[in-house]
Amino acid sequence: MIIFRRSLHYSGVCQSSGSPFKLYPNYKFKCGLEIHTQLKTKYKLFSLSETSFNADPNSKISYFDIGLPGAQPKLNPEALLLALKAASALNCQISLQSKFDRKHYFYRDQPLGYQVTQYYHPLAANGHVELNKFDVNGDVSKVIGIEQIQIEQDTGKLHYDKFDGVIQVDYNRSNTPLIEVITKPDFENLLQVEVFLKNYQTLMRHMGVCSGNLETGAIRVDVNLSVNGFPRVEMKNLASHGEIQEALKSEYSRQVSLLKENKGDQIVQETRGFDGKQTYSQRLKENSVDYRYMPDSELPVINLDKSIAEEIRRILPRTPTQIMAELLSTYQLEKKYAKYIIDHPELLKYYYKVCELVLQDQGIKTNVVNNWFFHEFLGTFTKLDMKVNIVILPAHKLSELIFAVSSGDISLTSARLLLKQLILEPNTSDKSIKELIEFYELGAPSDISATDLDKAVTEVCEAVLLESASSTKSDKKGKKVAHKIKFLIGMAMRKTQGRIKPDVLQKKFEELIGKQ
Amino acid sequence: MLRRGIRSFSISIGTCQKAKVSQEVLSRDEISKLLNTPTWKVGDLMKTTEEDIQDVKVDSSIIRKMLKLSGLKEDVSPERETELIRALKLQMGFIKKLYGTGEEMSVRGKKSNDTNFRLMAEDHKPDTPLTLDILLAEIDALPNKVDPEKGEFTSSIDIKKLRSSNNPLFSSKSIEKV
Repeated sequence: MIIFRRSLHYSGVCQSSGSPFKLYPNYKFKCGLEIHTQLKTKYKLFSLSETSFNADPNSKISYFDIGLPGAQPKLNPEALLLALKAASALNCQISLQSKFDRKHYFYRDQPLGYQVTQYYHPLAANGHVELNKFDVNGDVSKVIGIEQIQIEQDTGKLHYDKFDGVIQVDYNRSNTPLIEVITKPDFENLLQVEVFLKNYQTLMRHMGVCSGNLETGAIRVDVNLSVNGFPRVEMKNLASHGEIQEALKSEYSRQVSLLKENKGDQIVQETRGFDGKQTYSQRLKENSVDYRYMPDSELPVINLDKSIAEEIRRILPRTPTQIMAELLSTYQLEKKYAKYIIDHPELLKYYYKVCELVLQDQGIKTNVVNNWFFHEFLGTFTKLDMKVNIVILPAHKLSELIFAVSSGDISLTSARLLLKQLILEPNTSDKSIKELIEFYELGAPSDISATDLDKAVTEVCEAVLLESASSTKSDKKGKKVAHKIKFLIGMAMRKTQGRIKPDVLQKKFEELIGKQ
Repeated sequence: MLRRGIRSFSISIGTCQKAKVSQEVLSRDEISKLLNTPTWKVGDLMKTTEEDIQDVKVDSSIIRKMLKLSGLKEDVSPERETELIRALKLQMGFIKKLYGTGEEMSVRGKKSNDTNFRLMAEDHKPDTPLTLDILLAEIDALPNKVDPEKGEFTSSIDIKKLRSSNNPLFSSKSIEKV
């Protein structure tokens, strides 16, 4: 019977068709998620060897991490704190007493022969996440329930070396702390899944719980799908948002096709893999591993004081949703910019600092700061094809530069030049902006009379006109002239390193061209 | 609870009370010989009757599934299978006594199978409840608790010394070459 069913399921694969995917009203999509999230701790879960990413293979392993006989576990309080933060951020009820269990299975990435997890008495349960219009990643109105959160250990990593014909094991990841977050099957469509997961990543990153990356395996997702209440099918180890979406589309389409053909009996509880195009049967319920769960006899109960839930809530930073609401209203940011800095907490902190320093000065508006921060500051890194590095220019210096432009001490063009110079040559960072303006001679001329300044401007403009005589003679009127004047102003700005304001140059060019 | 289980199964702990240090093992062959010459086994210490294990249900299919899950060879002889069935019954009977409910593990659900047995009586006593302050203080103290004797330092295990061809990764199984 088992073999018969299996053969049906191997043949029952469903390809993602070329036609656009859609949910059918008569075939209800019901999905739940299991999210494995690596905790950003210095040490591992039950030993004090360091956690690592991309370290030399097997260089970060204690005797417990590789299951040497006699080595015993001791819970790392860092992991407990981060798990409690995650539980609080996901609005869960924290259990005052939770326990560890052993989940037995034999596999070469699991040196103990069992995984220490929390099966019977998890750390937290009954939470929820509200998706709403202030969400960082989309505008969906829905509440997703959180079934439970459990602390558990990660496994080692396997390398299938087909060239040399061996399976190699790197145990650096072994015993790295994880939380497994299990949602209720509340997802009714693909968009809800996508928005929830992206919000979850942002939330964990923002709370300092996890790096939040799916690509590096810091977050790994299993999805469960059931259509019209038929047995749920699980798809494991999906490595990206795209893969999750495609696997769900493929599996939903497969189940709907079977139901349309009155073959609902062929939908059975099973684990299916996804090969990039279609889901395929991996393991039926009848063949499921018996994990022989039992309480761990070496780890004591986690016994929490009843005050701890409130204490954790008090130290949590504001949620991304709360920050988004503030950035959109008080700081008048566009949603895409707000989302960007919320996704990069160090930039968000920097932005708030610049705003704090600049906006206390009367007369400078929020949109000026926003323009400077996103277009000038971040934009310069982009133009130079460099990774944003806020250490190069501390927030107080960017604020000084904004002040200098605002007060007319330096033109916008010169300020851009200075900003570019500061990013390219950060070793001048010991000087103030005022000193740097003088050092690079970028300030507006202040020690000459108006007559001498006018004379100097005239000389510069005449020289520019001579250089570009052939291109300006033919067009004296209309848009082309205006365009040419902008070109001439640009040339003059370059000659004066932006020290003369563009409106002064424009007036002079109009005067000189009019005379010709 | 552990004692109750032991009493019921009449384990004779006296036979393994005294530890003795054997002669130094000097070569690979001696290690191999030592490991392949067992002097006692847990099963021999458990004095049990057919009555103790008659309610424990273990059959051929369970044994073969266990062998498969354990990565062991499944093609055992009927005699060996009978031995394994009896050994597993014995073990399950012992665990049943440890849990102290008289219920079989296999029929217990998630909610009921959570008895937290401890090897040491004092482990039953819960720790002082953790407050946030205590937790933060424990985190601050962690760097002082790193113990080199537990291998808690970078490159604590020299893989190359264990087997030079393994360096730096453990090789676990040969697979088909491309």
